Amino acid sequence: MSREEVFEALNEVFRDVFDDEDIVVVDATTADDIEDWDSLEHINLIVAVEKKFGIKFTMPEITALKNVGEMVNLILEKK
Amino acid sequence: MSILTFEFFLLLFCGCVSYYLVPSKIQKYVLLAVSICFFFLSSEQELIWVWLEIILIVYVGALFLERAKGKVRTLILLILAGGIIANLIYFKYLYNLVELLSALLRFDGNFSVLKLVAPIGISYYSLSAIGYLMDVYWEAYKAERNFTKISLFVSYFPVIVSGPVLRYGEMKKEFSERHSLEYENIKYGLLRMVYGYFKKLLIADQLSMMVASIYGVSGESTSGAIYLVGVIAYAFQLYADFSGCMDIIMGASLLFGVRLPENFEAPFFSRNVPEFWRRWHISLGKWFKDYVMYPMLKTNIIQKMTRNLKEKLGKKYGKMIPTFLVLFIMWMLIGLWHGGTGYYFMASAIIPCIFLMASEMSATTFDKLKKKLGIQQTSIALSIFQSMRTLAILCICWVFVCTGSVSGGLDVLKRIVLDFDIRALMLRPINTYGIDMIHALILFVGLCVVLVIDWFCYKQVMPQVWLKRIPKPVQYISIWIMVLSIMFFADFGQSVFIYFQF
Repeated sequence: MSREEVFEALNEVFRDVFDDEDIVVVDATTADDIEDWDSLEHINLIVAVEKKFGIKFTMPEITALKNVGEMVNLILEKK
Repeated sequence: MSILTFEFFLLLFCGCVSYYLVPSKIQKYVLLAVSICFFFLSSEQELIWVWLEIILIVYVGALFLERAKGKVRTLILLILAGGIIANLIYFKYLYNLVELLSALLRFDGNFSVLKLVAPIGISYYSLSAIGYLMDVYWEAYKAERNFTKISLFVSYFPVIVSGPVLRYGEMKKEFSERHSLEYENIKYGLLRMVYGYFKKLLIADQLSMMVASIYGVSGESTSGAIYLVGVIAYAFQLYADFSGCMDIIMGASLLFGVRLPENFEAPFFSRNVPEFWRRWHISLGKWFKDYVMYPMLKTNIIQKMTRNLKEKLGKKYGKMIPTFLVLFIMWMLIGLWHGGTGYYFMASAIIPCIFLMASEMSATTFDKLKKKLGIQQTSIALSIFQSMRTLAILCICWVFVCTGSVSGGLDVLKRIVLDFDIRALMLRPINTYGIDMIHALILFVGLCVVLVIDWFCYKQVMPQVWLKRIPKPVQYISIWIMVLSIMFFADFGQSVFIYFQF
């Protein structure tokens, strides 16, 4: 899977989880850039990403994620 | 040994001198020796066995945990964490919980045999220990082979007073690195300690007398307006007390070159309740988020519940209900951590949880209202209103702590709403508030200084940056005013820290 394909799939996940069709994520996107992305929604997002890509994140990976770019790197490692 | 005493300074001084004279490999042993001395001088000495047991459980347990696989690994974690939790409940919460249950179920009994003296710091290092075991279970890092480092992690003397709750992943480097004597560390460490002593002795202790003059007097019919002043005074007392303690211990730790995680980030400038809890007692909130909330939200039970509820109630409520259930459980555990008494469950669990949920549910409505009224998010008037609203909500929680009972708290809240007589506040003489004019003046100036410093922190301009911009003479005069105020006006030897009880 290429990095662009991962971003395309992630856009779908983010739009679905946050109910916003205008979301476009990039490497530098963080929780500060998306209105409803707080600690309560974080796990819902993670579970949705896991389901989309058929992977599992560990707890330390989840809590250490700083931006979408790091999430994409992890997804590419696990695929 | 209290950190407000000369003996503590002596221990720090001897510790620092030894620390910087020994080879770097020996430095952690010096820190451990200082920690053991501090423990012996601060706690019932036979309780050192309880503390040693925890260190052994953590050290040996993590090594077994690392080697185990599959369900055995999970079982070992449950046994180890369960043992630490059982130990904590036994020493800290059992008496309060039994008293609470007997009150709720209305049966009498004498449970005083359950009231035990707990080892100092047990509430803090128990969480640090459980966090370490869970990190090893999740393979965040390998189990530590060095017994001294684990002992130091569990028993590090600055944090056993009132935290912060430590993470081994963050502290491993601090305890392993060579720390050479650096002027900036000594300067900033001592400065921070002076600031902490000022906050504790000249702000928190003075406010506590004010609060006691209002809430400590029984049998009088006090106006709601005065009770309101009292609980606002308590809010700042609690902040000055706890953050002052943090300044002292973080300054003390910095003397050894060991940096600790911050526990406060200008909480009274928070614009909503969720933001407040991200800025207040940060290490505790983060611990419960990472080791309780997130793992619970990720369990199959909660995920299945979310999927089923989404089908029945739609996406929004389908996600909301399981999330709020987990939030409620987490906050009840936080209430338990604060002692398990009825009024602490109200102040530190039920009411914060209700307001957090209300904040989540009303966020969209408030956003729409602001848009309709044309109010800009960056408006200063809005930020002042929101900060005051957040403080008011926290005061509702803290009323229960001021009164020391659920019924007392409810009674005071009723009076604040129904018996708010501003004239009673204006007519009450200043000298009935428990402090004299000079202390009141120092208190007022001190609070202004604290709020200004916090304002810069809220704007992410940290003290180490703006301190350098202040002309050196002004710096020296300010520090001396602070030191002299403490020497001449502080009451030494009488006070304890509020969060020391946990």
